[in-house]
Amino acid sequence: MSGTVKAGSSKEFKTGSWRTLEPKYDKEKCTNCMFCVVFCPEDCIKSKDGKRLETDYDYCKGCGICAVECPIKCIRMEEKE
Amino acid sequence: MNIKKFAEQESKLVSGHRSCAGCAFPIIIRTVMKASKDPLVVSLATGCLEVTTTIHPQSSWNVPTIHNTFLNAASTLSGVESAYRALKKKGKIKKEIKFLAFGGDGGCYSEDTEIFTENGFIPVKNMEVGKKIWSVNPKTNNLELTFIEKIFKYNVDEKLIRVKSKFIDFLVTQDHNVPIKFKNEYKFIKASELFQRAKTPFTRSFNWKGKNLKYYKPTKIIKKTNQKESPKFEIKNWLEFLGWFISEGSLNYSKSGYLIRIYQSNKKNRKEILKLLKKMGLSPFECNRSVDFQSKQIYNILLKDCGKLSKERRIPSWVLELDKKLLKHIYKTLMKGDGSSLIQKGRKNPHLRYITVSKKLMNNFVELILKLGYNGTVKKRKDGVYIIGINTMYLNHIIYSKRKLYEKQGIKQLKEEHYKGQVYCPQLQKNHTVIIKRNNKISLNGNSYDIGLQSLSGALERGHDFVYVLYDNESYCNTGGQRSSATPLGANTTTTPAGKVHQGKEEFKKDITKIVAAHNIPYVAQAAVHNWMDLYKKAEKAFAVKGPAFINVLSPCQLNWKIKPEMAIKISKLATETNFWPLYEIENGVYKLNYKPAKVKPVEEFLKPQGRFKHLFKEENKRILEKIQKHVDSEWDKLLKLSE
Amino acid sequence: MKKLALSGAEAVAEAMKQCNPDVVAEYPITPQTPIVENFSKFVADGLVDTELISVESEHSAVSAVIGASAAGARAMTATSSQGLILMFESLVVAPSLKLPIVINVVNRALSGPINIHCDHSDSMALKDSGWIQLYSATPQEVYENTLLAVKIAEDVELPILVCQDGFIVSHSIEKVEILEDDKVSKFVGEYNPKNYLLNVDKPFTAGPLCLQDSYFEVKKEQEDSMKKVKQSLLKHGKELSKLTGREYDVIEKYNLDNADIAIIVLSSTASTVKAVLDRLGNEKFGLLKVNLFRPFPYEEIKEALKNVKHVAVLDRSMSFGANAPLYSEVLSSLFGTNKKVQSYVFGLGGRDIFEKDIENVFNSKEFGDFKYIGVKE
Repeated sequence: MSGTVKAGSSKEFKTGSWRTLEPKYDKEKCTNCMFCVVFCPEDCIKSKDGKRLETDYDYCKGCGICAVECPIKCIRMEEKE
Repeated sequence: MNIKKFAEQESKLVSGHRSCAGCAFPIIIRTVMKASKDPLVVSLATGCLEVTTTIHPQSSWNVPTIHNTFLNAASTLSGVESAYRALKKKGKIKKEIKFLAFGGDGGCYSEDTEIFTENGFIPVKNMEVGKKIWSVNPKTNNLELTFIEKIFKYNVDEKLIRVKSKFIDFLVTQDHNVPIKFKNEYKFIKASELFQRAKTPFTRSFNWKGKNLKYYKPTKIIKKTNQKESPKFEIKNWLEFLGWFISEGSLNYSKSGYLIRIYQSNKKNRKEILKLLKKMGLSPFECNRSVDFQSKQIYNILLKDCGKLSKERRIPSWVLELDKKLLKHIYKTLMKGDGSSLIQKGRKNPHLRYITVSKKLMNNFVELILKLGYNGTVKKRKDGVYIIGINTMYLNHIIYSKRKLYEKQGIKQLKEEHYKGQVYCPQLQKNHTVIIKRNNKISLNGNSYDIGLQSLSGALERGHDFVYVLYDNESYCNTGGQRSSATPLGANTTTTPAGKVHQGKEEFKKDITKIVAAHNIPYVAQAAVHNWMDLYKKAEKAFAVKGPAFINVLSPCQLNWKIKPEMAIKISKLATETNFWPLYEIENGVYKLNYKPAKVKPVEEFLKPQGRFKHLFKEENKRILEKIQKHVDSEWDKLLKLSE
Repeated sequence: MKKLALSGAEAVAEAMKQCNPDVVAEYPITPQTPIVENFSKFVADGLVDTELISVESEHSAVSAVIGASAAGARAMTATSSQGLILMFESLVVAPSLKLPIVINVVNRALSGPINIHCDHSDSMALKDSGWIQLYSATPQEVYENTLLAVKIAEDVELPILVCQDGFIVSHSIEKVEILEDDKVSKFVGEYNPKNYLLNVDKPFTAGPLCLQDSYFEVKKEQEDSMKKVKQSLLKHGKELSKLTGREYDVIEKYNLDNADIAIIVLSSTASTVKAVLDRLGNEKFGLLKVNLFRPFPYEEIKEALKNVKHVAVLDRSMSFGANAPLYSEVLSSLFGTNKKVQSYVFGLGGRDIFEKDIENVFNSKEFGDFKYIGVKE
């Protein structure tokens, strides 16, 4: 159907190329509070069985919200490699 | 809902959208959509949200979505929602679907059910719009008359829910609203949810507040009467008399005069009737099996109000409007007349019945006992006689819906039943409860509800069943941050820049939440992106409501508010902690404040981190800061008063 | 079949009733109002299953029918003049989404100054919008065009405007042959689109942002669909013929076989020309009535006029600073031929055109710049 696009297809567009800084988290210190999962605008931090998973760097734009909202400050924004 | 469950739930807005790094609205959209249990169809207005999430050839939406033009998200969604109702009626769509608009800048009965109207029980298929129907106020449990606004009828071929016990019987659609007693009010749950509850309390006893009279004074004096003035009777006496007459009385006119006869073989009762009539100032005489007296006037009154033939007997409508206390009198003597009280072996309480051949009297009698706070069953015998079973006990009935439990007891009280045919659902003007009768059992049940600014206002006024979420970024962000009516006082935007003569926007922010609330829709709320739990709960409530619901969500825009990309959540929190953006809801017109900061921060703390307010911190603009603080304080006070 | 005395507006309401659309948006504007009023009565009496949305402006009317049609419902509305123009902002989206919406337009002059009477300036303003346009000369024609419109629109997946002259046709009563309800139901059938929003198991996004890299192709697709309209009209016209006994074509030729001079015109004025031709009985005079204006039947007109020497095109609207719309299209048809074509503009703001004026056109020997018929000097 012209004038329409496929649902959920934006996953083909990897916005990860936008960032200049990227978040790195300390697995040992992480308490799995889920704040970073809830507040990531890109939905690129997922969780499973109550534990947060690694950031999906394909889509992370490096905004820094996860680092700021982390209550124990175990996420650091570093220069992208 | 807890954060772990919420975090793990799949999002219907996927990654890869082109919103700015640190933009708040994706968080808002994700949260709101997670709150819907049913599938969604979304309508978008042109704006940041739409252009960043639907760039050809991709879309970030994993739900059916439509974007029309800039100002018509609500009117476009009105069309989608109307199409849903039209196709559902035809049976083409069977699912429950919820409708959601994002802009920036809303149970049925099987055919064999009867419903209690002003004129008694009628089959559901004979319901008419505009006719009055008995319903129960879910807050006060009072019996009230309301009228039918709309009637929905659908053709179904699916599993309905059957709730059956000794006292209750109904067959309704899965999404039908069933009223159950919860604390002291009614709570409506979907029929399909009955299976998940351990105990479901059904009420069969209602309150009634009627009129109080001291005397009965027949106002229309029939001509050619010998009496010069209208007699008056103490109401208690007249009601008792009526009860006797309706059950046992007859009218005989002959050359000797207008005779009223009350049959009664029981001697004790005859004495009672005699005493009563004498008290009323009449001249009765006792016969072998009856008590008679003559009165042209009373003859004519009874003829008109109660009917001559047994089949026509009825209780006069003015009697049924009287208060419970008075109704007891007529009930007492009606029962003494045609009522029977059987004490069955092994039972403590007698089995009460009332028998009549008059359909009108049957309906009147049911209305009478409901108003007395009783309940009952109605059976029609093959010979046309109505037997009304009266229940003065078992008025709150508990149904155990855990299948194992009642199957063990051998009573099938709750199950799914396949049904093919028509189902009917009235939409009432208020209360949304009806009294139904099925398989002789009478019970209380629920019913269906029914559901730019111009486009939004029109859709709200028409009551479409949808949720409108306004992501408030306080300017026309998509086109570069121009001033809109949502922009706060003093803000620097590209069309209200801070210059030599003017210092940013000179008007206060339009209070859209209150404008929407003025449409008197069932649910209005203000939320913010930082409090995801509050937003989630509000979205849940909004989806649950039948009819329009509106949530205004503060959505910081890092680009146009000129804040660091990582600050969206923190700024939103400051907005609430300074009372600049209170979190509140308005449910059916009742205001409720959701968050009161323990220590209110000055509004400066919200403004300072934002580049768009930088100019306000110059010495010469101090007065604007004061103006903003004053406005925030007075709006907060207003809100406090409204939510008392 | 039964014969009812109906005005053009009533005939449309009757056709809509028999089509039983799922959703109708209504907003009143003279002279279209009797359509929505009559239809609302059918809804109130339970004669249709339609969900009627009483919107608060024409912009919302077209937005609602776009939403409804995209959702999977058969959707219709009606409007005139300023209402149609107010719809414009959203109306252009419909063909890009391939939505078979039917809008009945009762032609009324555009404002400036405000006028409620007939001319074609409203629908002509939309000639480039991508909507199909069918013109009707009588209540009988507008009844049948509405039924045809549903079939054509759903076949080619484009929205359509069915036009009739304001007051002249919409408010004049004629004996109209109405088909039996079941025959109409069978003819229009059910609307079963492949892709629709309410099919939540197969979600898609309608109306995305299309930048330089994709917008052009969407528009080409619209044009490809336009190319299918003529065939669709003929095909469904043949089916309808079986029920009514009348013929349906993109144009109608009247007395054209041996004509030297032909008048080309849209809508009810064609009936006036027919009356003149019948009275004069001159086989040298003929009429070419145009039914389908968009897509424009260039070949059919060229073929129909092949033996005609002089052509007079009567336009009931103007294109300020340029050739009048119908005249402009006819000129394109006849490019390369050496026929003389004269442009006339008549009837703006409802100014009547009389049989005498038609006769004068036939008898005129001058050809040159466009002329006005009936304007006060």
